[in-house]
Amino acid sequence: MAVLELEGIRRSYEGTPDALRGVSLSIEPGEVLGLVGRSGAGKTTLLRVAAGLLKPSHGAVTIFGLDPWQRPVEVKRRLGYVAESQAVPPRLSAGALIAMHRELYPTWDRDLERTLLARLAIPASKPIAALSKGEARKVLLLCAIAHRPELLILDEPAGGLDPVARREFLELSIELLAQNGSTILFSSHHMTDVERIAGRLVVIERGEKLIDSELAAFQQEHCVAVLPAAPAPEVERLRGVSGFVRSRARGSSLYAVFRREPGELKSELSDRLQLPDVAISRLSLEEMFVAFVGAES
Amino acid sequence: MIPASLRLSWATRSTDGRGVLVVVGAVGAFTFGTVLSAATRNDGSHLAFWCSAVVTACLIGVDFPGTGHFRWSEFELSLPIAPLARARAHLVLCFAVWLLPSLVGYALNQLGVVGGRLPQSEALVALGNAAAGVVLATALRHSLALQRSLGGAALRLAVAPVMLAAAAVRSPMFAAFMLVLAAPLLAVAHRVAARAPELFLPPVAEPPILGPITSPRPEVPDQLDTRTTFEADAAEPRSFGRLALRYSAGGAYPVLMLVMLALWSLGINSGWLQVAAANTMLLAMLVVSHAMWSTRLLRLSHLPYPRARLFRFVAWPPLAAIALGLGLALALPAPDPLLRARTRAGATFLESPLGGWQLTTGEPPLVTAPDGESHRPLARPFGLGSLVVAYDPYEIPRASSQSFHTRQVGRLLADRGLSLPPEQIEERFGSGPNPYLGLGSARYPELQKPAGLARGLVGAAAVLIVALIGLHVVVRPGAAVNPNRWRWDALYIAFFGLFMLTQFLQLLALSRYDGTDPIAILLAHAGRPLVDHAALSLPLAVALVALLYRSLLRRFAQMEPPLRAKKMDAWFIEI
Repeated sequence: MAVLELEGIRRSYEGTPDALRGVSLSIEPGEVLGLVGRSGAGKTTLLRVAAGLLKPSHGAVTIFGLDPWQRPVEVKRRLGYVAESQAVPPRLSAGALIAMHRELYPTWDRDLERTLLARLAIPASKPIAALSKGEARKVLLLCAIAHRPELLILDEPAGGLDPVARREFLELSIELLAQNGSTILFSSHHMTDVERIAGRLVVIERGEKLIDSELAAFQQEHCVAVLPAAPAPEVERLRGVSGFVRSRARGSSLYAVFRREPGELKSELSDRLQLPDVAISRLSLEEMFVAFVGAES
Repeated sequence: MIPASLRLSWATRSTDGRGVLVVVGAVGAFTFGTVLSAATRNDGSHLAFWCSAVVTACLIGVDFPGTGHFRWSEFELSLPIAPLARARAHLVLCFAVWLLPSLVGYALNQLGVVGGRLPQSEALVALGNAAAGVVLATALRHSLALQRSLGGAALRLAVAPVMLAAAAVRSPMFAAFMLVLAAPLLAVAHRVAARAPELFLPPVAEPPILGPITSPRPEVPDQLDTRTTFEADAAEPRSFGRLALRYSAGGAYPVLMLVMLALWSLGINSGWLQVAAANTMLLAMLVVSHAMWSTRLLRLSHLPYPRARLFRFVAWPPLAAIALGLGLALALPAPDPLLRARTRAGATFLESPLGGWQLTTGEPPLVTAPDGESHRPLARPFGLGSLVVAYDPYEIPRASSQSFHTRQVGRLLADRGLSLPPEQIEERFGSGPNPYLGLGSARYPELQKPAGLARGLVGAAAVLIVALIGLHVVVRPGAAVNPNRWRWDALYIAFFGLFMLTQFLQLLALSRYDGTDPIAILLAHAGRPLVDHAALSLPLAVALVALLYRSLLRRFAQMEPPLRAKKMDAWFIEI
């Protein structure tokens, strides 16, 4: 049974066009899904719908086979959630906040809490407002994972953290939850994080799902052809090549993304289209993302 | 051309068009009050002043143009504008919104600039003074720098007594005194702001540690703790409950709301606050304000805490405050004199309480004594083209004979199931009515007819029902309402419109010198059958209360956290 099932989710805010336009998604146990998209693409809305915080205008959400609006407590006890900007009562000390969470989650692991407190060096007696952003995010992470959730939802979990803290934050989440076979759904603008952690990639653009693929397969299947100087007719010819996805000008060069095997593509472009200068390479996820959602030439 | 600093100051304090509403509302209300005063030949300054104060307070509370939104303040300070220019702009806004209409209104009446000084009723003087108290309180509140230098807590505590004392003082000059005091306070505050603008930023000081929340379960030694779950703890999340209670009923604002709710409930149901409709709607507005505040708890809705329990922290504090007030009202009913003296158009009349009044169309029937003396009670029209008029069948004009007095009082007593020998009635009113003593006051304890438990319970049920209906304005599916901003949809407009209507109708009633309140008469009429058939109406009211509460629970379960959470950052920090 899928841990999270979203079917045809639409959601709009007052006076604005739909933030989500019929997104469907199914996440199996143990998957680590990275959700990427441009700002305003609908990632946060999708994650909030998935966490049972927003009700979809249309479509259905089931988490662990349950409706989060019908049985919210059952669902949320098995869920961990860290928002991009998490609201926290500022006057509580970190220890008090953790104690509050401990009381709310029946599966709270006290040993894990102690381990994390020591490992993350959280000053438990300090009020939240007095902690640095990195320290406060660590407290939130502890609160989200010490009950060993079956599904962890992280919305830009490492936003605003320095690279070291970011890496530590994410790797700790993965390490701890992988032991349980927990499922992780996270969004990020850092493609390196997604590449390092996610097993599956979902790209959202303007409220619609653009890509949903295993990350490794996605990277294997796509390559880019770089033409040092391509006049307009060449671009039109490229469009006719099998597997063409998008092209994008960068300076005088043209980058064209194909869903093809690189060797096969190279021979086709240089032999059939007489483009000897073409260079074929694999792309990093970030370049691929820009190629897919950036402006097309 | 508007200077940039003024334009900026306006912009930072008129987010969501609130400032436009404030000025249009305040000036409009002032104009309305002035015209009404001129039309009714009654007190000009206080009426107009009160209109302005009510509208402004309703729209923005007593904060405007106070310290404003902290984020805006930071933004303002980051811009290259001279502190003095910014302070001047704030001051101009203060005067424009609050003081100017007040001072003009005051000059109209007290200085007799137009048409000379007009007679003033005591109620209007009290209201005017209270409104001036609001201005002074605003000045004190606005003077953030002053507060810090003199002790903000003491000043905040002084605000409520200042307003109450102002309402208690019967001299119209007191309002002038407070306005004169408020102006330099504002000026001083702005001067301080110009020199030390950082004082107007939110305090960055570390908040006090409230101490760790103790787990209800003692710490288990490591070597014995082989389990990884704490189910007993999870069954009773007391820490969350304490936190939620602290937010919904622990801060200065919610406490103020709750105290006002208790006082208003007490006043309405005990009879101390005569103006039922306006005060009941004000009570509903307080409930709405508190709910807008407490539904911020939804920002913690990612935690597995049952919505039904969370709802208790939203609904129970105001309902408990109301219940406290209503309970006290049942224990402490206000004296209910059978006749009151009223002065109208230079003559004094004796009138029965509103419950004894009748409604009719056309002229009220003539009341004729056995000796042939007759009197037609004055018709009080409802206005707006209504054919229905209200009248007091026991009304006694000053010019009537002693025997007519005795007959009318005898009729009233008989209808109430009481009696007083005619000679005592004559003794009571032989030397003319005393406006400070009603029939049934201390001299005649046997005529003290308590309001009755049925009336008290029906009134209490009505207040509770109004409060629960008021909660529906805030508690409804969709995103929680931002407490800093009203959502101007049909429900809010209807609620706010009704609120304003009752306030203006009340002003209309106050502007009459006899103080007749048509809405109160209508309500008294509507409520009479409910009281008479309390055995039926009370169970129905209880069922309605239960139904409304269940409806609120269902609606609350479908509520979402606020969409733009960062606007609601008074309670939480965002990490």
